[in-house]
Amino acid sequence: MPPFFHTKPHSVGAALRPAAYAVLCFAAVLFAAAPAGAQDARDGSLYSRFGLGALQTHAGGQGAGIGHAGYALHSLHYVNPNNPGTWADQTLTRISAGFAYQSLQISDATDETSRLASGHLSGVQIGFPILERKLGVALGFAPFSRVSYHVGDEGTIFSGDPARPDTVGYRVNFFGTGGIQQITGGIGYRAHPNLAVGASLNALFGIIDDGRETIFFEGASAPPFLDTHLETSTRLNGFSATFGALFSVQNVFAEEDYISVGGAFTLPASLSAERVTSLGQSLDRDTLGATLSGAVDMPWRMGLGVAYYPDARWTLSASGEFAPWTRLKSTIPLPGYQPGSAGGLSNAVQLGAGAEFIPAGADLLAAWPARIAWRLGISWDRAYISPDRNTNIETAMLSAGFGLPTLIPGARLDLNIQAGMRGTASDDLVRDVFYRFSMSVNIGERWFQTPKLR
Amino acid sequence: MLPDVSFQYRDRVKIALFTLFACVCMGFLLAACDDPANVGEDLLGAAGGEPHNAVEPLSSLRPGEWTPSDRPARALVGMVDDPALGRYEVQGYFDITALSSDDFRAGSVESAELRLRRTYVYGDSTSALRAALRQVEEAWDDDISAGASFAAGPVITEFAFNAADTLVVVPLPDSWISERDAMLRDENLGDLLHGFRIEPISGNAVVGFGPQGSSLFASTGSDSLAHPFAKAYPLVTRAASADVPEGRFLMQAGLGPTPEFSLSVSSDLHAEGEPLAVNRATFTLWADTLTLLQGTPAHFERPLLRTLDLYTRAPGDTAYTVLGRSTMDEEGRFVFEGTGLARLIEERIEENITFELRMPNPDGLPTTLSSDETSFYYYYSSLNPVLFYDAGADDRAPAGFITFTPIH
Repeated sequence: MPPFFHTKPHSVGAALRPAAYAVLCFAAVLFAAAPAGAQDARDGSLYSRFGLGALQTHAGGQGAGIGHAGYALHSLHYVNPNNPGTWADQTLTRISAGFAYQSLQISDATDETSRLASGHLSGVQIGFPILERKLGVALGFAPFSRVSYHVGDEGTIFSGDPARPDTVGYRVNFFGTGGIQQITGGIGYRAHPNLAVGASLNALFGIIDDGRETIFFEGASAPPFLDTHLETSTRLNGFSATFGALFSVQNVFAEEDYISVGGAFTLPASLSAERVTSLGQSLDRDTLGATLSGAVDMPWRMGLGVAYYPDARWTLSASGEFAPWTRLKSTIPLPGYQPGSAGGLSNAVQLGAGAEFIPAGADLLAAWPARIAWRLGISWDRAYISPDRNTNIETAMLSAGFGLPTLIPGARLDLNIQAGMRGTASDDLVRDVFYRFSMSVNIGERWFQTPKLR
Repeated sequence: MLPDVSFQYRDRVKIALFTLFACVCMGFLLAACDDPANVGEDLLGAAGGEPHNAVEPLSSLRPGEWTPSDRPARALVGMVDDPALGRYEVQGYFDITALSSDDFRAGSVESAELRLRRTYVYGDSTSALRAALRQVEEAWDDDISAGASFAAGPVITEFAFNAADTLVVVPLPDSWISERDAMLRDENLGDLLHGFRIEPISGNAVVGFGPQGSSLFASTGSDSLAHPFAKAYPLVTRAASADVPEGRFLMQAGLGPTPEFSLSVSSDLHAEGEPLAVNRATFTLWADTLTLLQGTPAHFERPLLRTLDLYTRAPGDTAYTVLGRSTMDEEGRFVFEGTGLARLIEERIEENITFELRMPNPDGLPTTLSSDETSFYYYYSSLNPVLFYDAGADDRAPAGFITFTPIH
């Protein structure tokens, strides 16, 4: 057992103070991010307009640096959000929160480009052991899908006023915000020294706003025009469940090596949907027509991965995910989706692989630089929906990062950089080139446990 | 070796770590930039949002029901033969606000005269006018329906003046003064004297007197009082029907009627049940200034109603709501526009919306300069006309110009 598990005795109250502060900080970040994110959350990929938005992969601070290859990844330092089977191995109450900032350049076939940038919360995770390394619980919050786009089209129109026969410029902005959020709660149980299983219940909820605004540039002294603000808000909610397992074997290829195979299966989910279309702004907003109710049936999802630990310094991981999104059914119109047809839909695939290297391995007494975790990864995915039924939207991404140890043995600060390319700039499609900087704080603390005296 | 840090120090580090994290998060959010070019617009397909223009004809102008209730204390009097609009005769009723003083009441009235400050001319500004003055013999108040007249006594005096005179003094006969000496000195003069009526006898102009600088001036040996105008009422008679050309609508202050019209948006612009966003709406009504000018001799003054308010009324409702104001431009157009008009059309696109033109709301008009074209007196105690082109006048017919964005 690592020596930091036996520490100087102190009161539970004193131990809770920093942890409570941490929770407060998370809450503050969440609340602060919500409105600010609402303002700037338009600045993402135009592909997120289609379907239910762009699916998000939350692999935590460690997984993000190694190509989101997290299904078989397990560590005492992180709560793996991808596989409930890994939650059995917990020794500390652990809180982690991640935030991402993305710079995006969108190009079309004519080499016109637009640049957008925004930040968003990538996920919050809390895990704690019920029985140390036997039974663990985890709760998480992360975006399941994200709608975030903004594109404009400019033109001119005759002012319509015979007294002032001139033209007026206007711009039509199309934008989308929101997405589906996911709150996950579940347990992991080590059923056998080599096998851990877990299950989680996932609550899916969120609002997707698609807007269109026509804005006129009539100038201060010109005749007044009223801008048009049209917004369609779709509220979605439902539940799904995920079952996971992690099989681990030691001494496979060498002494003290370690290999894990993990997988998770998420049941299909049926989301109830309510859609309201409104015209106008804020308090002047008028609802157009009746509320449209329906359901969106999402397919199951399965992920498999393998992780190999040759020694305490290296972690090699690879995983893949598959979801038959061609089975998507929705009784409410979704951009790019045609009821009764799989046109434009694809079975989503995600593949990732990566490595983590800690020069000091498990030696917590080594110098600080030697305890830094160096990460490198690569991933590829095929989106479940495409605006061009003849072309799949694929994303290739390189990731690299660091896991910085702190003065507190249970805490780490993870910094990751991801660079990728999505789509293709041909026909009507666009190519996204994105650079994403993500940061997550990961703190472990003894809660609910009686401190032991050495 | 494990760093030797105290728990308090560890706590501080944790706090610092999370504070740093929160600050960086907020910094990222605030640093979010936005340069949405039109890259990728083709992905949206026919997503709409482009505005369109439509010209919607307005209905024929028809007489509205509104009659102005506000009436400034300016006495109009005279007769005029307008070569464009016909002959008018105006009898001017006016009453005074009685003043009193002990010195005045102590003596007997030695002289009395009407001092009439001219503040308005409609007609031949070189005309010589003659009028008769009578004392009104019944009480009257401000709430007078159009065409009402009040009993008056015998002619007190006749007097002559020129339309160009800025001050007309009408001495009252000694006999009239002596007979009313007690009344003129009575503290309740305001209740005993119901005012005067000036009847035109000859001339070719209608002039307005007061209210500023006009009074009943009376003197005793020891004091004198100038009783100012309190209220006035013009009894306007159109002696001959106005010669309004075909396809025109005459609106005239003091005579009416106010023009009412409606807008019924065509099916080309709006299909039933399909929502529509109105970005801008402009109503243009043309004034026929040329017809008024034709045959009008030199020195003939005909001030026009140059500023009007646009009102609307909901179906079945009697209350009107003001939507905007327009002043006639150099080409003779009244252009009404504004966000209120656009919103109204958007909200009631499926209705037949009724509008009315009125003289400007007196609440917002200045009352200090009677000759000012924006003043209360300019509109509410005058014969100022405006001749509108009506429906069927081709490119000068009343029309609505609507910029709209289809929703679907």
